[in-house]
Amino acid sequence: MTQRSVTHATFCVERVFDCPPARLWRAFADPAEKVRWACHDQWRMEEMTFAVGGREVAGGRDPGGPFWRFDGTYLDIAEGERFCLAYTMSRDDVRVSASMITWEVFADPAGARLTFTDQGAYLDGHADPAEREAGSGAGLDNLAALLAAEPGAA
Amino acid sequence: MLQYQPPPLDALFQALADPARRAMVERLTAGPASVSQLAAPLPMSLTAAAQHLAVLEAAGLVTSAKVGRVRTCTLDTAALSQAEQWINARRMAVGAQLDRLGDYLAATKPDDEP
Repeated sequence: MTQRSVTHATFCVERVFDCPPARLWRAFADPAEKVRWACHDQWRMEEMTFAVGGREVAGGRDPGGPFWRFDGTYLDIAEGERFCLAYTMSRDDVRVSASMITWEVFADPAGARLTFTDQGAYLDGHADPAEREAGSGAGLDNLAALLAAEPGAA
Repeated sequence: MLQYQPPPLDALFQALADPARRAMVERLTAGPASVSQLAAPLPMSLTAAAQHLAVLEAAGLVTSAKVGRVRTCTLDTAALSQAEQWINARRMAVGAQLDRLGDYLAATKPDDEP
Protein backbone atom coordinates (compact mmCIF):
# COMPACT_ATOMS: atom_id res chain seq x y z
CA MET A 1 0.00 0.00 0.00
CA THR A 2 1.35 3.39 -0.93
CA GLN A 3 0.27 6.51 0.89
CA ARG A 4 0.39 9.20 -1.80
CA SER A 5 2.02 12.48 -0.87
CA VAL A 6 4.18 15.21 -2.36
CA THR A 7 6.53 17.57 -0.59
CA HIS A 8 7.99 20.43 -2.61
CA ALA A 9 11.32 21.87 -1.67
CA THR A 10 14.17 23.86 -3.14
CA PHE A 11 17.76 23.76 -2.08
CA CYS A 12 20.87 25.51 -3.28
CA VAL A 13 24.57 24.85 -3.18
CA GLU A 14 27.21 27.35 -4.20
CA ARG A 15 30.90 26.75 -4.69
CA VAL A 16 33.84 28.78 -5.99
CA PHE A 17 36.53 26.97 -7.95
CA ASP A 18 40.03 28.12 -8.68
CA CYS A 19 39.80 27.92 -12.46
CA PRO A 20 38.44 29.94 -15.38
CA PRO A 21 34.65 29.70 -15.91
CA ALA A 22 35.20 28.07 -19.31
CA ARG A 23 37.22 25.31 -17.67
CA LEU A 24 34.45 24.68 -15.16
CA TRP A 25 31.88 24.58 -17.94
CA ARG A 26 33.85 21.95 -19.85
CA ALA A 27 33.82 19.68 -16.78
CA PHE A 28 30.01 19.56 -17.10
CA ALA A 29 29.57 19.70 -20.85
CA ASP A 30 32.09 17.10 -21.97
CA PRO A 31 30.88 13.59 -21.05
CA ALA A 32 34.45 12.28 -21.02
CA GLU A 33 35.31 14.91 -18.42
CA LYS A 34 32.13 14.57 -16.43
CA VAL A 35 32.49 10.85 -15.78
CA ARG A 36 35.93 11.50 -14.34
CA TRP A 37 34.57 13.51 -11.43
CA ALA A 38 30.84 12.79 -11.22
CA CYS A 39 31.24 9.03 -11.13
CA HIS A 40 32.95 6.68 -8.74
CA ASP A 41 33.01 2.98 -7.91
CA GLN A 42 29.39 3.01 -6.77
CA TRP A 43 28.06 5.49 -9.30
CA ARG A 44 28.26 4.94 -13.06
CA MET A 45 27.17 7.01 -16.03
CA GLU A 46 24.99 4.98 -18.39
CA GLU A 47 24.19 7.67 -20.94
CA MET A 48 25.00 11.33 -21.41
CA THR A 49 24.11 13.59 -24.32
CA PHE A 50 24.79 17.20 -23.44
CA ALA A 51 22.23 18.85 -25.73
CA VAL A 52 18.73 20.23 -25.29
CA GLY A 53 16.52 17.14 -25.19
CA GLY A 54 19.51 14.89 -24.52
CA ARG A 55 19.52 12.49 -21.61
CA GLU A 56 21.77 11.85 -18.69
CA VAL A 57 21.26 8.53 -16.96
CA ALA A 58 23.41 7.33 -14.11
CA GLY A 59 23.00 4.84 -11.34
CA GLY A 60 24.61 2.94 -8.58
CA ARG A 61 24.10 0.77 -5.57
CA ASP A 62 25.01 1.61 -2.02
CA PRO A 63 27.03 -1.31 -0.63
CA GLY A 64 24.38 -3.84 0.35
CA GLY A 65 21.67 -1.25 -0.24
CA PRO A 66 19.15 -0.25 -2.86
CA PHE A 67 19.93 0.62 -6.47
CA TRP A 68 19.58 4.33 -7.19
CA ARG A 69 18.99 5.72 -10.66
CA PHE A 70 19.21 9.31 -11.84
CA ASP A 71 17.29 9.77 -15.09
CA GLY A 72 17.53 13.28 -16.50
CA THR A 73 16.82 15.31 -19.62
CA TYR A 74 18.54 18.57 -20.49
CA LEU A 75 15.85 21.23 -20.88
CA ASP A 76 17.95 24.29 -21.58
CA ILE A 77 21.59 25.06 -22.27
CA ALA A 78 23.02 28.58 -22.44
CA GLU A 79 26.56 27.77 -23.55
CA GLY A 80 29.13 28.56 -20.91
CA GLU A 81 26.63 30.07 -18.52
CA ARG A 82 23.71 27.89 -17.50
CA PHE A 83 21.85 24.65 -18.03
CA CYS A 84 18.63 23.13 -16.70
CA LEU A 85 18.15 19.44 -16.20
CA ALA A 86 14.86 17.76 -15.25
CA TYR A 87 15.30 14.40 -13.57
CA THR A 88 13.74 11.67 -11.55
CA MET A 89 15.50 9.73 -8.84
CA SER A 90 14.45 6.13 -8.31
CA ARG A 91 15.23 3.67 -5.60
CA ASP A 92 14.96 0.06 -6.78
CA ASP A 93 12.78 1.27 -9.68
CA VAL A 94 10.42 3.27 -7.45
CA ARG A 95 10.50 6.98 -8.21
CA VAL A 96 11.14 8.94 -5.04
CA SER A 97 11.48 12.43 -6.54
CA ALA A 98 10.93 14.46 -9.70
CA SER A 99 13.02 17.63 -9.84
CA MET A 100 14.72 20.25 -11.88
CA ILE A 101 18.31 21.32 -11.40
CA THR A 102 19.67 24.63 -12.65
CA TRP A 103 23.44 24.90 -12.82
CA GLU A 104 24.90 28.35 -13.33
CA VAL A 105 28.50 29.38 -13.89
CA PHE A 106 29.70 32.90 -13.12
CA ALA A 107 33.03 34.67 -13.31
CA ASP A 108 34.38 35.30 -9.82
CA PRO A 109 37.42 37.20 -8.53
CA ALA A 110 38.68 33.85 -7.20
CA GLY A 111 37.97 31.95 -10.41
CA ALA A 112 34.57 30.51 -11.25
CA ARG A 113 31.45 30.46 -9.13
CA LEU A 114 29.02 27.61 -9.52
CA THR A 115 25.47 27.60 -8.22
CA PHE A 116 23.27 24.54 -8.03
CA THR A 117 19.54 24.95 -7.46
CA ASP A 118 17.34 21.89 -7.08
CA GLN A 119 13.55 22.38 -7.18
CA GLY A 120 11.99 19.11 -6.29
CA ALA A 121 8.77 17.22 -5.74
CA TYR A 122 9.48 14.50 -3.19
CA LEU A 123 7.05 11.67 -3.70
CA ASP A 124 5.12 9.45 -1.35
CA GLY A 125 6.99 10.04 1.87
CA HIS A 126 10.01 7.76 1.64
CA ALA A 127 9.48 6.74 5.24
CA ASP A 128 12.10 4.13 4.83
CA PRO A 129 15.17 3.22 6.86
CA ALA A 130 17.44 3.75 3.85
CA GLU A 131 16.71 7.48 3.79
CA ARG A 132 16.81 7.76 7.50
CA GLU A 133 20.28 6.30 7.40
CA ALA A 134 21.34 8.49 4.49
CA GLY A 135 19.94 11.61 6.12
CA SER A 136 21.24 11.00 9.59
CA GLY A 137 24.51 11.81 11.28
CA ALA A 138 26.59 14.33 9.46
CA GLY A 139 23.56 15.21 7.36
CA LEU A 140 22.31 17.32 10.20
CA ASP A 141 25.27 19.60 9.77
CA ASN A 142 23.53 21.14 6.84
CA LEU A 143 20.12 21.42 8.44
CA ALA A 144 20.16 25.13 9.03
CA ALA A 145 21.70 25.90 5.70
CA LEU A 146 19.20 23.64 4.00
CA LEU A 147 16.18 25.31 5.46
CA ALA A 148 17.58 28.81 5.27
CA ALA A 149 19.12 28.57 1.83
CA GLU A 150 17.81 30.96 -0.74
CA PRO A 151 19.00 31.65 -4.25
CA GLY A 152 21.51 34.45 -4.14
CA ALA A 153 22.32 33.99 -0.47
CA ALA A 154 25.98 33.92 0.53
CA MET B 1 -5.81 8.67 20.48
CA LEU B 2 -2.78 10.90 20.63
CA GLN B 3 -0.56 10.85 17.62
CA TYR B 4 2.80 12.43 17.04
CA GLN B 5 2.32 15.72 15.20
CA PRO B 6 5.39 17.15 13.53
CA PRO B 7 5.93 20.83 14.31
CA PRO B 8 4.38 23.04 11.64
CA LEU B 9 6.84 24.03 8.95
CA ASP B 10 6.03 27.71 9.42
CA ALA B 11 7.34 27.64 12.97
CA LEU B 12 10.38 25.66 11.83
CA PHE B 13 11.27 28.13 9.10
CA GLN B 14 10.57 31.11 11.32
CA ALA B 15 12.81 29.67 14.00
CA LEU B 16 15.61 29.20 11.48
CA ALA B 17 15.19 32.59 9.85
CA ASP B 18 17.38 34.18 12.53
CA PRO B 19 21.17 33.88 12.20
CA ALA B 20 21.70 33.56 15.96
CA ARG B 21 19.24 30.69 16.14
CA ARG B 22 20.86 29.01 13.14
CA ALA B 23 24.22 29.33 14.90
CA MET B 24 22.70 27.58 17.90
CA VAL B 25 21.30 24.77 15.76
CA GLU B 26 24.65 24.36 14.04
CA ARG B 27 26.35 24.12 17.42
CA LEU B 28 23.82 21.53 18.57
CA THR B 29 24.48 19.31 15.55
CA ALA B 30 27.80 18.58 17.26
CA GLY B 31 26.03 17.43 20.42
CA PRO B 32 24.07 18.71 23.44
CA ALA B 33 25.20 21.99 25.01
CA SER B 34 24.28 24.17 27.95
CA VAL B 35 22.52 27.49 27.49
CA SER B 36 25.67 29.40 28.43
CA GLN B 37 27.75 27.35 25.98
CA LEU B 38 25.28 28.21 23.25
CA ALA B 39 25.24 31.88 24.21
CA ALA B 40 29.01 32.29 24.57
CA PRO B 41 29.94 32.79 20.89
CA LEU B 42 26.97 35.08 20.25
CA PRO B 43 27.00 38.85 20.73
CA MET B 44 24.07 38.89 23.14
CA SER B 45 23.13 38.50 26.75
CA LEU B 46 22.32 35.16 28.33
CA THR B 47 18.72 36.32 28.65
CA ALA B 48 18.47 37.11 24.95
CA ALA B 49 20.03 33.75 24.11
CA ALA B 50 17.48 32.00 26.32
CA GLN B 51 14.70 33.77 24.43
CA HIS B 52 16.09 32.54 21.12
CA LEU B 53 16.27 29.03 22.56
CA ALA B 54 12.62 29.29 23.58
CA VAL B 55 11.73 29.95 19.94
CA LEU B 56 13.71 26.91 18.84
CA GLU B 57 11.99 24.83 21.50
CA ALA B 58 8.55 26.06 20.47
CA ALA B 59 9.35 25.05 16.89
CA GLY B 60 10.22 21.57 18.09
CA LEU B 61 13.83 21.85 16.97
CA VAL B 62 15.39 21.80 20.41
CA THR B 63 14.53 20.13 23.67
CA SER B 64 16.06 21.08 26.98
CA ALA B 65 16.29 19.59 30.44
CA LYS B 66 17.58 21.10 33.66
CA VAL B 67 20.01 19.02 35.66
CA GLY B 68 21.03 20.76 38.86
CA ARG B 69 21.77 24.35 37.88
CA VAL B 70 22.56 23.63 34.25
CA ARG B 71 20.00 23.56 31.47
CA THR B 72 21.20 21.29 28.67
CA CYS B 73 19.83 21.64 25.15
CA THR B 74 19.60 18.91 22.55
CA LEU B 75 18.69 19.03 18.87
CA ASP B 76 15.45 17.15 18.28
CA THR B 77 16.04 15.30 15.05
CA ALA B 78 12.41 14.13 14.99
CA ALA B 79 11.54 17.64 13.86
CA LEU B 80 13.08 16.77 10.55
CA SER B 81 10.55 15.21 8.26
CA GLN B 82 11.50 12.32 6.06
CA ALA B 83 11.46 14.65 3.07
CA GLU B 84 13.84 17.05 4.76
CA GLN B 85 16.18 14.20 5.60
CA TRP B 86 16.04 13.03 2.02
CA ILE B 87 16.69 16.53 0.68
CA ASN B 88 19.54 16.85 3.12
CA ALA B 89 21.01 13.59 1.90
CA ARG B 90 20.75 14.89 -1.68
CA ARG B 91 22.40 18.12 -0.61
CA MET B 92 25.25 16.19 0.92
CA ALA B 93 25.59 14.07 -2.21
CA VAL B 94 25.86 17.24 -4.32
CA GLY B 95 28.45 18.62 -1.91
CA ALA B 96 30.50 15.43 -2.15
CA GLN B 97 30.23 15.56 -5.94
CA LEU B 98 31.48 19.15 -5.98
CA ASP B 99 34.37 18.12 -3.72
CA ARG B 100 35.33 15.59 -6.36
CA LEU B 101 34.88 18.23 -9.09
CA GLY B 102 37.23 20.55 -7.19
CA ASP B 103 39.81 17.77 -6.88
CA TYR B 104 39.45 16.99 -10.56
CA LEU B 105 39.85 20.63 -11.63
CA ALA B 106 42.92 20.97 -9.43
CA ALA B 107 44.42 17.75 -10.80
CA THR B 108 43.87 18.78 -14.42
CA LYS B 109 45.07 22.35 -14.01
CA PRO B 110 47.61 23.27 -16.71
CA ASP B 111 51.13 23.80 -15.34
CA ASP B 112 51.36 27.30 -16.82
CA GLU B 113 48.43 28.53 -14.72
CA PRO B 114 49.25 30.13 -11.38
